[in-house]
Amino acid sequence: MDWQEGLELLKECREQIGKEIVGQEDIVDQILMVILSGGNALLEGMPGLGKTRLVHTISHVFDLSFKRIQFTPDLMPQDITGTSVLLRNESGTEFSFRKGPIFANIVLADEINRATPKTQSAMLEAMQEATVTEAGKTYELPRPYFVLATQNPIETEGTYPLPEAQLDRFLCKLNLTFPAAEDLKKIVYLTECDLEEGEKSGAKTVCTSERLCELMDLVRKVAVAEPVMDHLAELCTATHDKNQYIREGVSPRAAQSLLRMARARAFMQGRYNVSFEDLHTCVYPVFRHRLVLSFDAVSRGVSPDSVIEEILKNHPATKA
Amino acid sequence: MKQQKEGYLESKLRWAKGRLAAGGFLSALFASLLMASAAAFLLEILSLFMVIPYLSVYVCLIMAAGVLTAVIFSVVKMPSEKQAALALDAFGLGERVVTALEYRDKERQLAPLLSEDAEKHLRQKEGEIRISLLRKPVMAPGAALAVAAVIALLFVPSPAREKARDLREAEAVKKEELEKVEKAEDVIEKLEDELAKQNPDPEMLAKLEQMKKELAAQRDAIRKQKGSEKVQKEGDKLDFRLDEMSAQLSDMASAEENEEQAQQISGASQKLAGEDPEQPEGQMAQGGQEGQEGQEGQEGQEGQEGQEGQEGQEGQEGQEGQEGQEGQEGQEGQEGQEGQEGQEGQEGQGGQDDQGQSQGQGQSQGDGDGEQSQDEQGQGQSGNGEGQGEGGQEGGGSGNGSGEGNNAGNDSKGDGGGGSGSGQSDFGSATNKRDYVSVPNKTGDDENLTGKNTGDGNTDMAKAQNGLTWEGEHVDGSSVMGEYRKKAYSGLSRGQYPTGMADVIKNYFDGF
Repeated sequence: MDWQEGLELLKECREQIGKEIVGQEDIVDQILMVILSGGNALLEGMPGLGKTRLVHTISHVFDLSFKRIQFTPDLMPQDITGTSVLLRNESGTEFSFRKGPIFANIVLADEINRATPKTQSAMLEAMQEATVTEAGKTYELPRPYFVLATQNPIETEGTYPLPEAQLDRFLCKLNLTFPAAEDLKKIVYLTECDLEEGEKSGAKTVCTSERLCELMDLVRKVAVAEPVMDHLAELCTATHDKNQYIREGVSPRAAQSLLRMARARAFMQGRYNVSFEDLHTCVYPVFRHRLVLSFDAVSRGVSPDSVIEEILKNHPATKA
Repeated sequence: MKQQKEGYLESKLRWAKGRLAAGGFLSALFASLLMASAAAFLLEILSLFMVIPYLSVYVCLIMAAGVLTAVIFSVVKMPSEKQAALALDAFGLGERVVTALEYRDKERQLAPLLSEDAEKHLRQKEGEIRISLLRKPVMAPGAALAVAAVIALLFVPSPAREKARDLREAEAVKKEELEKVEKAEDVIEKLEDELAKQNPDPEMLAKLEQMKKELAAQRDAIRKQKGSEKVQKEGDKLDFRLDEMSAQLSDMASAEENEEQAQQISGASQKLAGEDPEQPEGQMAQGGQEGQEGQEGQEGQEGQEGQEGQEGQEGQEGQEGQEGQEGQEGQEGQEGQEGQEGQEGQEGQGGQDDQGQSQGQGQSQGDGDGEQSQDEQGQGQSGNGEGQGEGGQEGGGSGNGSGEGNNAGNDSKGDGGGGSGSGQSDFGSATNKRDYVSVPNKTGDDENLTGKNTGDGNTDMAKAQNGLTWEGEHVDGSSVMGEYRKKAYSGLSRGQYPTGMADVIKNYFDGF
């Protein structure tokens, strides 16, 4: 697949997704960036914002298998990864591994913070290794593989917040916002009203998993100039400078994630190279869940995005 | 096509690099000028209260150092191609140019795509790309203002600056005077060396040694002085002393029997006096020109023959013996013509002053009286002519001429008088500002003047029209002395004479 072909395909996929999802352009773009980067995303938003519908639509457009896991406090690791069951057949009895819901191209882990840490770690281990080991046997997860985990910003009582080490495995964290009035009207109309034949337009499958893998290969080839790389490193190290609002800065994985996401963005913009603007746009979703804020920040209600904004202001891009 | 496209990108990069380099240089220049101006300004403020002799030199050096720093800085910080690419990308090109530049030499599938993409967008934005030469426009007028303030403050007067100017002038004069001393010392040392080869008189060597000591003492005295006036006075003393040494050497030359040694000593004397015996005619000495020799006094005219006394008339016959009339006296022999005055010593030519003007005044004075002799001898008078030349700023000259004419009527011979003249000029210096006082013979001093004494203190000079004489000028003796007195006192008030001589001069003129 050449570049132009890839761009055309991506553009078409975007259009199809736009038929099912009203508004939330930024979120849709960012999720596409995550998919093209081959990473996993953490979605945070109020219930009913269309997170499940979004992921379902994406999986339909790209012809990817989709599984949704609702995390509850009583969920067990085997409920996610799968379990071995004893089967009786003509030859006798034997254990058979029943694959869990994790074996899908796209997995929506709903309210991941409600499950116990043990269950969370089983999920996250699978994300990291892309394999599941059961009874001494290793099972590969399908490729491409994406996990979109969600969190509820309210109702945190009785939940198990993900530890920083686990959060670090997500490429980015996306904040879903309440749709605008116009978008809300459209959403209600599309879903609750009788539509005429011409108005009914569901998303179509326009891509395959193989083609998606080719797209991902193209994205990996997007060029990065040295000044851009320098700026990326500068942003990451800036989080470790003395700052009254930052207790812990980002990890090297953040630098990798930032570059991957910036490449995806550049590709979606039709560029063959990463720009400073790509970094500045992607740094918010990539850094916000990785920065450990100090008590000062928490007590003053300083958000991670404000801290990131300050860092960008103090470290402008290298100009001649 | 590919080569053409690369050419476009290359040319844009080159252009951007040039603009960045020029802008960098200007920024560095303005910053350096501001800092240099601040330093120079501080120094100038200091110079208003402290004596800093070469302030303008220091200020120029500081500003030059600022400019040089800017040049060096801009050369060291010459922008690279990458920086030029980033400068172009800053116009909304999304780092396409810098990425294309980096991938230019890489064997990647993406390289040609990057170049094409960069060039395409560069052409689209060509009209919008402007790389300014003045990164901070406010610096240009700021630097100009700072430099103007520095220049303006240079001209603000203050007592400390006046003192500094005086010190500078003193140093310049000191340098010249010390050079004179060195040259004089060289002359004496050379003379010593030459005489040493020829079995010289120990007394002569001792005198030369004494001269060297005096010169060394004079040098120390000059070095100690601070103000220009004091240095000038020491310079005057030095000139006076050099003249004395020249005269001493001249006497020594005259007294020397060995011709070769006499020549060497005479040459040294001339050098001390500022004459270079080896210099061809017409060449100016460094100072004023030499005064020309006074011309010889012309020969006295032949005295006319005394006429014969007339014969006594014969006594008349028959008459009682009357006494024969006395024979008439023989007519007086006519006076021998006066010996012509020795011509004026030519003016000592003034050396050129800074504007190339020469100043000189000559005075001549000739007195001559003819004496009538009863024995019908005419004596041509001796005339003394003195010429006095005043040197201008840089030269002094004086000429003396004297002539004697003796005419004996009997043999109708006239001997012309000898004339001698000598000229003097400065020794070496082109900036001597002194005037010499010439002390004439006192009127009424019979030892020195010959001629008719009218008894009323005035001298009288006879006019004579003769092919060999010329009309003289009747000058009142008191006005002449008055001129001398006036010049002497004027020189005293300007401090042109050595301090020790002031009383001598005053006493002399008060004695008239």
